[in-house]
Amino acid sequence: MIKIAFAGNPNVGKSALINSMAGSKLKVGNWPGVTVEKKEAEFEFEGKKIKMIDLPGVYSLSPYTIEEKITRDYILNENPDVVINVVDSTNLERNLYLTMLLKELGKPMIMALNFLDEFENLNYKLDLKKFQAHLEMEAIHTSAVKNKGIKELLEKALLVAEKHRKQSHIKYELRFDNTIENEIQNIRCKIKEDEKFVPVLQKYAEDFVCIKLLEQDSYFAEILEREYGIEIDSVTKENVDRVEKKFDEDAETVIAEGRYGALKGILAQTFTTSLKSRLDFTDKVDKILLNKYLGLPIFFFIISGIMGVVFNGSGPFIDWVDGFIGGYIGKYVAIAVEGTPDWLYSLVTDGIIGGVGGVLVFVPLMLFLYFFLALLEESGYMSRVAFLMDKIMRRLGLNGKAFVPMVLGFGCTVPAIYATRTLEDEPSRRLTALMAPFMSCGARLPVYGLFTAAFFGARAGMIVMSLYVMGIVVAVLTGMFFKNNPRFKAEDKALLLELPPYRVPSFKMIWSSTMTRTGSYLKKATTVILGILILLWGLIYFPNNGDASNSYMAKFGKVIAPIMKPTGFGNRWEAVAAIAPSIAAKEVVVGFMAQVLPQENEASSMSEVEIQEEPTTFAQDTMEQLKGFAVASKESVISMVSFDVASLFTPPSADEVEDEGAGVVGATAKLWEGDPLGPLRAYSFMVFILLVVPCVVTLAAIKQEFGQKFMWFTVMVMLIVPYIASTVIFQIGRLFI
Amino acid sequence: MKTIIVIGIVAVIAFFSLRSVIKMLKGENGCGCSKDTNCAMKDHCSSKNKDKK
Repeated sequence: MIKIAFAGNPNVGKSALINSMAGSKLKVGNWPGVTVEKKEAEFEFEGKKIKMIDLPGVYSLSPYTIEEKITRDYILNENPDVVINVVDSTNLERNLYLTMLLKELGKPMIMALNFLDEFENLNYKLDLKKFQAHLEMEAIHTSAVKNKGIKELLEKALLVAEKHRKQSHIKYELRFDNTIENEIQNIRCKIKEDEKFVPVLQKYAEDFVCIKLLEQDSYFAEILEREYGIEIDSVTKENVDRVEKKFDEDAETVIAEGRYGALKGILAQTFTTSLKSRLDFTDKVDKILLNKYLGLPIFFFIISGIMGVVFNGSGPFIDWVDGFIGGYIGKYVAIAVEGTPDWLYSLVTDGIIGGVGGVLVFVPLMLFLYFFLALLEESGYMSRVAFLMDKIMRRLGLNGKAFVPMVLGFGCTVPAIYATRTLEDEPSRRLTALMAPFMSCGARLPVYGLFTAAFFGARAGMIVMSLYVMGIVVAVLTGMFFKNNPRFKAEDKALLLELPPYRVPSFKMIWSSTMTRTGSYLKKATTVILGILILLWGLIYFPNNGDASNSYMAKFGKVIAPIMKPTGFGNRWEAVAAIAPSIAAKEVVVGFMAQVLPQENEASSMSEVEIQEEPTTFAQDTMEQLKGFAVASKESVISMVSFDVASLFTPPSADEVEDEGAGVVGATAKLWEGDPLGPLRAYSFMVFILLVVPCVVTLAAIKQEFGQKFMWFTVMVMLIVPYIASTVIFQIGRLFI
Repeated sequence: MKTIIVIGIVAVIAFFSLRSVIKMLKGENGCGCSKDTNCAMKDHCSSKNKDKK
């Protein structure tokens, strides 16, 4: 097995290069920090087994953050056969600093000069031969998006790995100032004579050890003391003193400046830029999008627009899938199981087809959302969101860095919890982990989709946007509430976030990301959610053979309902009972409603009705579904093209709200049929689902990162907060209706 | 006969879906454990899943 490690700055396309080579589907995005920990992909190339390791993006190898430690430890301790240093060829000066650090580790290396297409567009010129000679390594121009240079890079990497297979360390030229070089040489002589250093030099490259000793690297000093019983002060004190005296700076800074000097020298001899800069365009756009006054309104305008297009565009497809599952698949499955015992018939039609069908109805919604989320990520706008929020967070006395994990939480809370590792101090991490689950993750969207379609008609986009904003507001308020507690008291740290340049998103990348995420949703719906829905069906069907209002689930819901009455939705046991299984996975709420409501409303099973009303053949039904899909596609395009953001902010007409259709949406609309407070109750329910305890996988992540006690504390907070929020919204809202 | 066939099919579906639920509750399953690696949950997956990655 040949191990190839990918190292580079954040957002230089490491994961995208691995995906191009290995055909894997590692998460990519045009914003720093997509890879929080190392990830791996395995494949075969020309009969050789290859393992690629995607290391987190770092700017240096100093031991200040977890990502830097992960990258440095991996290269030093796991001995990859070759390191591919991925650099952004349009920003060489910044990227080469890490290259200098990687060279010090003394491992076989090769460079991928990525973003070839942008490099060419900017008319930059690089004398590749000289550049390679100065760096003492091969460098290949690549473009992951256009699939250029990928095969060549892999072939060269394998050659380098083969060439250095038996060498433990490679000696690169360091190119420091003479004074530094002399001190390094002096240290080298000392440690070579010292027996204690024999095992150290077997494991680490000589230059690396000398430089770290001169820098007085705290992490390395700790390793030397712990594992080899060496005190670094005793070895290098006089060298460090001499350097600091001569340069009037600490040794670490002098060495860092030395590296910059070396790389600037290399670039001066090999690289020429054009007057045109990629950052010109980005700077111009940022002047508007990050404007002090316009930034936030533009952000809300963009999100409103996206929500509107997502809901309008996916609406016709949702209706079509609803009909396809209920009227087509449901019909033929019902025919297939006709004549079986009642409980089995109910399990198949209501429990499995009805339940999972209810969740699958929202696949088009998720597909549209993931498409636009990927578009935002790929374009580079997502980083700007964190930057905009940082200003507000810091004004409120919260750690600005916390918003990066929180933005991740819009997709899934689990990576958001892991992303808190990027925060240096423990109280900040804890506070961010407490705030992140309030961000509205993708799994909650089907619940909003169902209740907004049933109660808010065409204004669904506006309602959902208000929920997203509420998630942010509640997260910030929670942060403010706990920030003075010693366990959460965060250090006031500025957000140091590199804003990536705006890029024209690659359709290939967006499509791949959309399909991967939608595929995960489908997989979850047909495995975990299906399992939970089968269990729930049992609790709805028994003990009264399908009489849901007297089922175990109803009894449970009715016991809790009085406590939930102030929230507004407590008058329906179905809504109350849906909360408990939502902790397994939020999408279960939709499947549960699909299972329980038709029975409650005595609609019997949907498929039975269809059988009586539709005496059609299989071929006719199939044709009908194909026609329906074509009509849905046409309607989707029309509603997206004719969508008007202003329409989101006008109240819906009575006709629109009543036109909620059949299936799970129609059944849900009957929850508070004829009740003038119905939409308010539905809104209160959605707020509760937004803020209530996250799914078990998130809880497991919290437990793993912060311990069991903190997990239970989070559960407690996320039961109290939604109860207060829903009660306040309902009680104040009813005063105006 | 029909009932037995339907029970058989439902039993298979129930077995695999409930197994996913148990895996999830035991913390062996999650969005990061599948091939898509959409989120970093490596430490959380079972060793079998880790090897796959």
